[in-house]
Amino acid sequence: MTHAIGTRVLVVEDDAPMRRFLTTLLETNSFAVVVARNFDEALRAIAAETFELVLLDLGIPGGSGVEVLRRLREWSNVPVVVVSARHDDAEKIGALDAGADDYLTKPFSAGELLARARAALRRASLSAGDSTPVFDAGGLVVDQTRRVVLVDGTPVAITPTEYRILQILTRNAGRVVTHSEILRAVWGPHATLRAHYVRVHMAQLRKKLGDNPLAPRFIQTESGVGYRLLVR
Amino acid sequence: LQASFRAAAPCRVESDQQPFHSEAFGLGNATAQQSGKVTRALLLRAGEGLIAVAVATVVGLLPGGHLSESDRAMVMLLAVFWSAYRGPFAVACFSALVAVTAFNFFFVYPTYTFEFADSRYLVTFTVMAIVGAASGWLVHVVRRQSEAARRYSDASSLLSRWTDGLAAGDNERVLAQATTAMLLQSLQIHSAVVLDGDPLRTVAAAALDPLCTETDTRAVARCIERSAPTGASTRTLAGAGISAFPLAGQGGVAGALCVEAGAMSADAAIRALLASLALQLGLAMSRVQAEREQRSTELTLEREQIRGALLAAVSHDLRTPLGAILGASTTLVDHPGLAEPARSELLESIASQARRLERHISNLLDMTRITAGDLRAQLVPDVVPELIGDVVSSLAIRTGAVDLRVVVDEDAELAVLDATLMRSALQNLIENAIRFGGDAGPIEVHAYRAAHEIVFEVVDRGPGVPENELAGIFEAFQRSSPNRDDGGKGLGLAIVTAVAALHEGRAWAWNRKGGGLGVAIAIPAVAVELDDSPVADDVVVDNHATGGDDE
Repeated sequence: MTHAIGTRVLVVEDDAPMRRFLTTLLETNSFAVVVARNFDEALRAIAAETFELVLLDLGIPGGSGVEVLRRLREWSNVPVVVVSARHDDAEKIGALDAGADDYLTKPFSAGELLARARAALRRASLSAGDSTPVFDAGGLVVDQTRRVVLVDGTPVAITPTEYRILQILTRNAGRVVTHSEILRAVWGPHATLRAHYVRVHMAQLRKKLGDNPLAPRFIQTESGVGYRLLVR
Repeated sequence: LQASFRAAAPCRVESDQQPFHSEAFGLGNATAQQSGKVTRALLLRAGEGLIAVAVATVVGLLPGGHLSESDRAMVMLLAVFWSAYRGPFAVACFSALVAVTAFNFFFVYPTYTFEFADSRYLVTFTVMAIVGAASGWLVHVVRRQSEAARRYSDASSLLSRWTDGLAAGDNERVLAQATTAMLLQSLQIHSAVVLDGDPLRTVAAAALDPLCTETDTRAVARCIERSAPTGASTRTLAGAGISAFPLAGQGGVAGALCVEAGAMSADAAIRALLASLALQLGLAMSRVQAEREQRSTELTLEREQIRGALLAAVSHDLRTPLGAILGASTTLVDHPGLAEPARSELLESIASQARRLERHISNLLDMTRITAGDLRAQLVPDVVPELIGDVVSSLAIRTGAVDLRVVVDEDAELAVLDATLMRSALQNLIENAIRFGGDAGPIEVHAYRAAHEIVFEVVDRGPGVPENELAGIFEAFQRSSPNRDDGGKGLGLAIVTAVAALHEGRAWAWNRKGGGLGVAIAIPAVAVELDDSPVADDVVVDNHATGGDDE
C-alpha cells in the first residue's frame, strides 16, 4: 500500500457498471470514493471538496471531460488520470496537454488502474515537497545544479539536447510528457511538426543511459503519445 | 466487349479509304487564306508559262539561225510542255494558247500580224494546242495520282493511329479528343464531341463549340434522341451551325460527333465517312462504359463479399469469447459456493476472453479504417527498437512466460513508416506467433536491412501452415485450417498485408526448417535526413563541461 488509508478519489464516470467496478476496486483498496455521473456533478464536486486524485472519463454527458480538467487546473494541481474509451491518440494528447497526469484506455484491468492511480499519487507527493534540483530514482540521477547525469553512480556524457529532454522528463517524472511538449520545450514553439526529432534524440538518450526500449528501466514509451520517466 | 470491337473492325477498312476519294478531288475544306495562296500560285505558274513561251520565241528569232518553221514549232511545244509540267492543267492550256498566238505572230507569214496566208497553219495551230493541252492533262493526272497516294497514306496512318487510340482509350474524353484531333489533321474539319446527359457536356472540341446556340444544342439533343444525323445538310434542323452524328453503341446513344456546318455539304463521301467515324467512336465509347460498369460491379461484388466475410468474422470472433465470458460468469453467479480451483479457472477465463474480445475489436476497427480506402500512411522517421519495444510492452500482459527475443540490426534502427499502422501489423505478427507457437520454443523478432528494404521478421516454432495454404493466409478472414480456429488470425494477417501495401512494401510467410512459421513485412528503406534539425550542430559533449544555458 503506497497511499494513505482514506485517500480521497473523485470518480467521474457515466456508465453504471464501469462506476461499480471502479468504486468496488478503489474502496477495496482503501480509497474513499466520491462519484460524479456527469459534467455538472463533476464541476460541483471539484468546487465543493478537495481530492487527492481524480479519475476522469472524457466522454461524460452534459459537457466535455477536457473542459472539467481545464477548469480544475485553474486552481488545483490534484493528479488527474484520464479514462477514455476511444483508441484515439489525439484525444489522449489533448487531455495530457490540458494538464492530465496520465491516461487509461478502456478496457483496462484492475491492476493497470491501481498502478496508474498510485503512480499519480506518488508523483504528486514527490513534487509537493520538491524543491531539490536533483532527481534521483531507480539508479538514475540528474543533478541540475551541476548538470551531471549518473547511471548507477557512473557519469554519462550526453548532448545538450538530450540533457534538455531529460530535464523536461525529470520535472514531470512519472507523468506522460507528450511529443509536442518536448518539442516545444527543446526546439521552440515552431517545431511541433517535427515529432521524429524527439524519437531520434530520445533513442540516442536511451542508448547512452543504457536503457533497453524492450524492457525500459528509466524511460517508458507511450504509444503515439509521448514518454514517461519511470519513478520506482 | 471483344465482340463489339470486332464488329467495329470492318468500319476501319471502309473509313480508311474515304479520305482518298474526298481529298483527291480537292474537296477538302480550304480556308480563305488557302484559296488566296492557290490564286497566287496559279498566277506565278501562268507567268512562268509566258516566260517559257517568250524564251522559245527569242530562240526562234535568233539572227542567223537556220531554224525551219517546224523546228520553231517544236521549240514552242517544248515551252508549252515545260509550263504544263510546272503548273496545273489550266496553266498548260493557257500556255498552249499563248504559244499558238506567238507562233502565229512571230513566225507565220505574214509575220508580226495575227493573220496567216496558208490555211494549212490551222492544222499546225490545232496540233500545237492539243499537244499542249494533252501534255498538261497528263502531267496533271500523274501529279494528282501521286498526291492522292500521299494523302491516302497520310490519312490511313492518321486513321490507323486513331483506331489504335480508340482500342486503347479507357475513358470517353480520351476517345473524343483523339477523334477531334484526327478530324482536324486529316480533313481540316473542326469538330467536337458532346456526351449525353443533363446538361449535355462537351468533352472534346477542335475549334468548335457545338452548344453555342440554342438551335445547335437542339440539333445535338435531337441527334442523340433519335439516333440519326441532324443539323446542317440534314433534314432535321438544317439551319443549325453544326451537323451532328449519333455516337450509337450497344447501350444506346452515348452522345454526338459534331462538325461545323459546311464541312460535309459538298460531298456524300465525307458524310459517309463522318457517319462511320461516329459509329466507331460510339462503339468504342460503349466498350469503355461497359468496362467501367464491369469494374464497378466487380468492386461492389468484392465489397459485398468482404462485408459478408466481415459479418461472419465479427459474429464468430466476438461471439466466441463472449460465450466463454457469459458461461463462466453465469456459472459463478449460479454456484456461489463453487470450490477452488474451478472458481479461479473460471475467473481467469473471463479475464482472458475479455482481452481476446478487445483484440478482435481493435483489429476490426483497424481493418475498417484501413479498408475505408482513403487512408494514407503518415510516413515519418521512427526508431525501430522503440517501436518494437512499444509493441512488446503493450503485449506484456499476454506474453507472460513466453521466450521472446528481439534483434534490431544497426542499419535497421531508423525507418520511415507510419507508427500506428506498423504497430498494429507487428502486434498481430507477434501475437499470432505467441498464440500458435508460444509454448513450442522461442519467438524471434528480427529487424534487418536487405537491399532497398527494411524487413521485420517474426518466426515461431509452432505448427506452421500447410504449404498450399501459405499464400492464402494473408487474405482477410482466412484461417489456415479449422483446427487452428482459435481467434482472429485471418483478420490479423490481412491487416499486416494492408499495412505493407500502404507502405508500398510487401508481406510474406514461409514454413521454417525444423518446424514453425515465419512471417515478414518489408517496407522500402528510405534515407533519414535530420540535417534540418535546429540542433544539427549538436555535438557530443561531456555534460560536466556544459553549463550556463540551463533555463
